[in-house]
This record gives sequence, structure tokens and C-alpha cells, in this order.
Amino acid sequence: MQALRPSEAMRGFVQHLRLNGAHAVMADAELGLAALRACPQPPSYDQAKDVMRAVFATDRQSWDSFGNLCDAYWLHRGVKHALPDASAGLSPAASQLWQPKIDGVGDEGDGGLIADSGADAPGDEQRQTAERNIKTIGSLKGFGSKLNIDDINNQLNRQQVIDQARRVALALRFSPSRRYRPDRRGRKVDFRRTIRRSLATGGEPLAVARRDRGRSRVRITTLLDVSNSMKNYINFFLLFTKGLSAAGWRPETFLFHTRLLRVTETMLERSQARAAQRLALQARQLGGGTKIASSLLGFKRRYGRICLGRRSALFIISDGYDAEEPRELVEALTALRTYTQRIIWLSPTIARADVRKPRTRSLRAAVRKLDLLSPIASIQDLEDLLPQLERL
Amino acid sequence: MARRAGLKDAQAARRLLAKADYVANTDLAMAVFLACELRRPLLLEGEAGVGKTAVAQALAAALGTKLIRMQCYEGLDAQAALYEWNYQKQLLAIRLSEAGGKQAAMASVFTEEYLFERPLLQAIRQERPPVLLIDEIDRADEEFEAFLLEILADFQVTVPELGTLAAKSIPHCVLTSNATRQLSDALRRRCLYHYLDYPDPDVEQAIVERRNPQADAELVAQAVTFVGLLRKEDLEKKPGIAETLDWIAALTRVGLAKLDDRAKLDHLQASLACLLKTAGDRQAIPVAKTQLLAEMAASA
Repeated sequence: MQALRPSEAMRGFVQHLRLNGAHAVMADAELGLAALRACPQPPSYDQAKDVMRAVFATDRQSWDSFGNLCDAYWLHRGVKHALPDASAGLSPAASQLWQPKIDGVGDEGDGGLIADSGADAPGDEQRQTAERNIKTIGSLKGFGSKLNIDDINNQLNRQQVIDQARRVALALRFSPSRRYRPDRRGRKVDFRRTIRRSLATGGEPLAVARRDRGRSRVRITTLLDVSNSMKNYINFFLLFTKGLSAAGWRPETFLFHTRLLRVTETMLERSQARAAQRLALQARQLGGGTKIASSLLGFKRRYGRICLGRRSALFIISDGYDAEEPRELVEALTALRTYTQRIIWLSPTIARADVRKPRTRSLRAAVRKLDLLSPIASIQDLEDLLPQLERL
Repeated sequence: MARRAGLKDAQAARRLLAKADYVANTDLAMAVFLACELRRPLLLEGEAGVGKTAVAQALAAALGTKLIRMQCYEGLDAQAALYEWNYQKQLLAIRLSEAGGKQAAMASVFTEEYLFERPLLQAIRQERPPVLLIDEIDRADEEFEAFLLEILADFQVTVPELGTLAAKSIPHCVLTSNATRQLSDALRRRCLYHYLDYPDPDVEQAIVERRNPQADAELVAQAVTFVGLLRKEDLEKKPGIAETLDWIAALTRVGLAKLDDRAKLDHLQASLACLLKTAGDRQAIPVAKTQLLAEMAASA
């Protein structure tokens, strides 16, 4: 077998890193070789590994896994190359749009969309489910603002919930930026513009220019628990997330139970019938146990960089019943905090008096990692949420 | 080949840092060596108190060069980081020229004479390469991060009124981050990366012995083990190296020679104020647990 040249071997290594989820690019191969050449003597394997780690690692995760990946490529040891998935090589925007095969839902052609007719169209049973959903949503008429969430499910007032959710999204839509922008009526004097203006008049009269704070848009991402314990509240919260999606800026919506499902496009669907159909099909087999921590980590790994940022808010809607250890949930939330500044947990089952000390073990452990934990058991609770969000 | 910063290899970088009392492990020494050699910024990430800022300070001290520090915060903008015009002086100049019957020209008040150099501009205008420490970059806005990319890539600054100011020397750049938010891929790609974890007990012991040579060796060994055990507990804020140093100084001050001295358990518990900095953490380590950890540390 012919030996590879160093540049080819290094390019192969970059390819190997990319197949295993690293963000390396081909230009890094050159830098890697330059770094190895910078060593005065040919480095030992361990030294070379340190050199390449400094060049190719970009965060703690890649730092920790680098040794194994390095051994796998250069020593053919242990770790197998991950199979390239369908999203590899796509731009973040493209992979954001691409929805992989989840729970047996076909992704042929339109990335998880349901075809209007033909083999991919929903079967009779799914149609019935979808129609039932539409009926439930469509027959929602006037309910009092003090009703319990169970009552809301029985006679949902669709528009009222959506409107309230829109108000929630609007309450979060902008956050004051620390950056100043020119504004004639602002409070802070803009010396640079003042001086430039005064050159024409020799400093008299002095026309004082001012600056005011800018406002930045906040991106809202919602993770909705659809496990069995939440089944009585799902319709209500789907309406809520639909309202958030309608008014939010670049909104994202995910469902989770033991795994994660992205339903952003479905939530933005204008046609109610089509949205219900898509959701019914996408959410097949949902509703088992709950693995909140794993779902949150899965979300962070795959969508964290895309959906979250400094100016973002993350809504987690769950009752907090979790099959995993509370410690794992705390770790997942800690990891998410590096991406977003606002984590808001809405729970339909906790009482307002228990907000500081929830009864579920997971939620009790997680509460210090949250910016806000709020019970949502009525329309009034949504109303009460607004001032709390404005304070965040 | 002439070596930048006079470093021959990673061992030389390690010895250099040791001159400034910084005990570096092999991979950190390699990262510092490569950053100097390849003229790349070094991004150090890790928990608060693991010695990220100290790397830059030690490098500057060991190289005998200037340390220019820029502390990042939310709202930091180009004016605070790069340059600012001396507006008062400009205004006075305009009024003076008016009083002299002349019209002030724009070019006359937008010259270097009226320019305040902020850390980034200062760093690239030094004759001798300084160490530029961009501290806690994760606290700055994403917009500032994008602005920083131009400086770190080209080491030149464009002032609209003066034109482009090229670097007289390429500074040794060290960026630190507590990982409170995710930095952009673009910034990470321009830097070499090193994750600084809490040090191994033997490294931490060496650090303490260098920084506090008067401390009793047995007490230091026990204290370092104790802190290592404490870091494994579920704490909100795990103690860093600075906390270990403070704690050992406090133990010495209260006259504790051994951690498992039951007669002085109250002193030991009180001294944990140096290590545990939140009410929740204080509650998480009651006296019984302190005693258990102290006995484990003493018997290790």
C-alpha cells in the first residue's frame, strides 16, 4: 500500500473530524501541518496529538473527544468513523430545514412534509385522528379566564389562548441593547457627531447630537413535553406555542418525550387542517416516558448553535416528571445556559405556592438553573406571566 | 530559523512560564509555544479561577514585555476598545482657531494628536510585541466579537479620518472565556484552543508551594486533596486555585496544622468561607461532611 503524503493524510484527518461532528475546515489542515513543522524535532505521537488538539479543538466537547478521534484515525484504534448523515455537508440553514426520519415518518422529497395524495398521504386512521384534532380545536368557544386547564381542554377557546401567547411573545420580543445608536431625542450626548456638526459653525452655536439605546430582537424557542403525563395539557400548549410562533422572531418549536422532534414548520402552517394533519403524523408514537435531560442535551447538541444565542429565550413546557436522575437535568440546563440567557419553565401541574420548592425531584433540583418557573393552569396564569417576563 | 519569543519548543515555553511562577502542564505549554510560533491568538476556556488570566500575566512577565489588558463586558464597543477622539481638546482647538480668525479644518482636529488609544490600538502600535489579554470575551456582545475578527485576522485598524493603521508588531494575543455563552465558530477558527481544567493534585500542590512557600508541606498536601474532593461535590461554584491559595493562607493564620484535628473542626468549618461562595454551597457542606472529607484528605 502506498503511503499517504503528509498533506493528504492531514486532509483525510480533517475529513475524519468532520464526519465525527467537528467543525474543522480544509484550511485547518494547512495550519495543522504548519504547527507540526513548528516543532524543532519530529514530535512524538503524544506531542503531535497535543499540537493537533490545540489547532483543531474548538470547545470543551471537541477537546475531550479529540484523543479518541485522533487515535482512531492515526492508530486505527477504537472509535469507528460515524456514518455521514444526510445533513452532513449542508449549510446550517439547510440542515435546519432538513428534518430527518423520525418515528417512521417519511422524509422523501420535502423533508418530512406530508404529501397531499399517494403513498405518503396519511391513512384513514391518521386522517381520523387529524380530523378529531381539528374538531377539538375548531369547537373551542368562550371560556372564562379563571378556568382550570382541564376545563380549557374540554372547551378550548382557541383564539384566546393564541392571543395570550402572542402577548407573551411580544413581551419578550425586544430586549434593551447596551449599544447606543444615534437618536435625536435620546439622552446620551454623541460627542463625535456634535464635533463634526460644530466644525461648520466654529463651535457656536453648538448643536448637541444625542444617542439612545438600541433594542435587539429576541428569538423564542419552545420545547414542549408530550409524554403521557402531559397528555391532558398538550392541546392547550400546542395552541400556546402556535401563538408564540406567530408573533415571535425566527421562532423554533420542538416536541420531546424520550426523543426530540422539530415541528417549527408545522407550527407556522397557516392552514389549521394541514397543521393538524402534519402534527398527527409527525407525533406518532409520541407520548411514552420522559427523558427531559437527554432531550435537552440532544437539542443543545443539534440545534443549540442555530436556535439559541445571547438574545434568545428558551421556553421549556413540562410537568417535570423525568425518568432520568435530577443531576442529569441540572447538567443539561447548565450546558444550555452557555447558549441562552433566559430559560423559562412553564409547568401545568405545580401550584403557585410551590414555585420555589417544586414537588418533583427533577424540577426541585433544576429550579436554581432557571430564570423563571411559572405555573400555567389557566388563562389568568398566562396574563400573570407577562409582567414576570418583562422583568427578565 | 529565528524563533518568535525565543521559544525553542514546548518545554521552553513551560520553563518560561515557570520563571513567572506559573506551573503549566505539557499540553498548555504546547499551546503557548504554538501560539507564539504561529502568531495565532490563544483562546483559553475554563471555569472561573483555574488560572486563565494568569497565563497571559505570566507570559508578559516572563517575556519582559507589556501586558495590555482589555476586560470585556456587555455593551463594550469599538470606541472603548479601539480608539476615541479627545473631544474636549478638539472643541478647544476649534474655538481657538475661531478666536484667531481662522476656520478650523476637519483634517486639523482629526489627527493623531487628538486620538486616545484604547487597548486594541495600543497593542498593535507597540514597537515590541506586547501580550494582549482580551479577558472574558464571552461577556462581550456578539457584534463586538465580529468586530474583533478583523483585528485578530489582519492586525490593522481603520480609522475613517486617518486611514488604515497597520501593526508595528504582532502582539501575543490571549483570549479567555468562562464559557458562559457559546463563542462564534469564526472566532474559534482564528484561535488556537486550550481547555484549562482544574489542575491535578500534584500540579496544584506545586502551584501552592510556589505561591506560598511558607506553608507547611503536609498541610498543603491535605488541603489540595480536600479541595479536589470538594470539587467532586455538586456545588454551584467549585473552588478554583485562587480559593485554594486563600484557604491555605487562612488555615495557616488560624493555626491549623492538620485537617483531621477534631479539636479545631469549628475553625475548619468556618474557614470554608474561603472556598464556598454561595449560601447553597455552604448548606451543601455541613460539619459532618467537612469532617468526613478532612479525614479522607488526611488519610490519602
